[in-house]
Amino acid sequence: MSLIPDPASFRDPAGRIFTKDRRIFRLVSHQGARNYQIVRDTKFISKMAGLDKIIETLEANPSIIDDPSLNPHYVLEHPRLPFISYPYEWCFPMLKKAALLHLELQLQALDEKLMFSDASAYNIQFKGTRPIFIDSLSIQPYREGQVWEGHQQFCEQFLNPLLLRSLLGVTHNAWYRGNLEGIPSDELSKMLPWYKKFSRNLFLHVVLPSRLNNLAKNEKADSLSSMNHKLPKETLTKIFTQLSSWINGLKPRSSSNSTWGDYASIHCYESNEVTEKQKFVSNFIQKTKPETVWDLGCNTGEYSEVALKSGANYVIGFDYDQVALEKSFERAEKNSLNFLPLFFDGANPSPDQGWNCQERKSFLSRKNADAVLALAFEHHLAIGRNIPLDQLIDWLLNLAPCGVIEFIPKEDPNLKLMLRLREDIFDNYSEDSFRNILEKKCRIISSKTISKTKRVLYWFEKPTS
Amino acid sequence: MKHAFFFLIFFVLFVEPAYSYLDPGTGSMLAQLVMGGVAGVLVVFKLYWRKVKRFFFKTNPNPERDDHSQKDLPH
Repeated sequence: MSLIPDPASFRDPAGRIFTKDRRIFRLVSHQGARNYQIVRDTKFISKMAGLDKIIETLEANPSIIDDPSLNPHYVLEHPRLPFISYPYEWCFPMLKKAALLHLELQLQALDEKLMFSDASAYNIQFKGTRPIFIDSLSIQPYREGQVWEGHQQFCEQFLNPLLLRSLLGVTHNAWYRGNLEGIPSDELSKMLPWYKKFSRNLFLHVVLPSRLNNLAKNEKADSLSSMNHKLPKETLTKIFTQLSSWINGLKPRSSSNSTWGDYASIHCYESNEVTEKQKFVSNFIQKTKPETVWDLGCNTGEYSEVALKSGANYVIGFDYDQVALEKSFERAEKNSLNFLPLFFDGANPSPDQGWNCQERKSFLSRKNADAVLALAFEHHLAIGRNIPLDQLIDWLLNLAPCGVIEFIPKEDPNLKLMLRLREDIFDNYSEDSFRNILEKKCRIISSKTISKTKRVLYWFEKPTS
Repeated sequence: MKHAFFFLIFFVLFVEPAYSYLDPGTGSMLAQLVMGGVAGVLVVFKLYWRKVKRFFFKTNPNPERDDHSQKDLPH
């Protein structure tokens, strides 16, 4: 199989990412070779890779690149990550953890006389709950007196989205997904109440830079460059340390509008019903032995954990409730689970977007599940978003070769609640029609009614064609 | 330093900027110089002072500025 250029890797002329037979290669150009050598010789990357903070980077034999037109100076190989996610899919504690890793690496790099050329949040990925930095070529030799070129990017891609939630109680995901470059400082600044702008950190990192941008644009270019003062290294260290301690103290402003954050305590199962549901899921995982499971509507991660404990290797959870996601992440951290909970709206999942509509991949383009769980999920789309049952089932079956879907009947109190204030236009929504559609499209291995309210679990398998 | 910082806050919060095309990194770099100490604060003062002078004497800040001049700003 030939080399395939990664569509997200085009900004840095020092190197590009390619994939070949599912292996990940970074081709370092002649332009980037000198910096790479200096950075490599400091052993910073290998030291951080040992701590799982920067992705492992090995020099591969250039002969593996069979395309002479590429002519790389070095060929590096990285291990493949279980899943690529984006900051607009992360919940608050994930973005915070990624921000703190970036600052920690900046500080450590500075000790080795190195500096990051940018501060893109897309250069951090998650392995379960552990953030890991993936772009080794953006680490460069530090020049005495240089300013932090990534400061604005850091603010827009890490700090401002965190402040949006922490100070204003607004979640970052939709705005970030729309803009891709994060939350601009001048726009955040306009939303802040005037008295907050006097707080030291907010003034220095958000208000001041956006005002100075406006000030500087009226100046001649040469008058600005004549002011090109050098920044002492101690100031840089101080900036990183102060930002780090500020961000460390940020907390999501409590949102009272979480629907499912308390699900574990308010759901409508009795304790023996929970056990039945857990048993069904556990049995399904043990029999089908999936490597990767997608848990749609993962809520606080209860069944993701069941899947992992029953033998699944990695679970990616999807939910649209921020508090539930935060609890999921907390559960994953506490119990050291290989579990990645991500923000997702089933009726509007992440699209292919960015440069050439290929830079950031859609939910479906990243499909890698061996099994899917959709527990207490379908009614949110079928009733909540008017998605016809046949389309919904097609969509779910397309995600993985097998899975478990829970059907919620109209008699269920949660569904009654959803229909309380609206006309019931869903004549075809019944367990019979659900089962009929499912049977036509795949094989039902087993099904079980698991609650007094007649919720039913279906274990399906798609025919192998 | 404290007084200088106070005046800077005054200028930044109350001198309204004019809107046009902006170079995205300059403000961030100037802000770092301010964090670096008095020298940085003075640089920013100088910029604000020029703005005030321009207001009173109505001088053209950038006679040869055209639509492409932002390319020349430091990155």
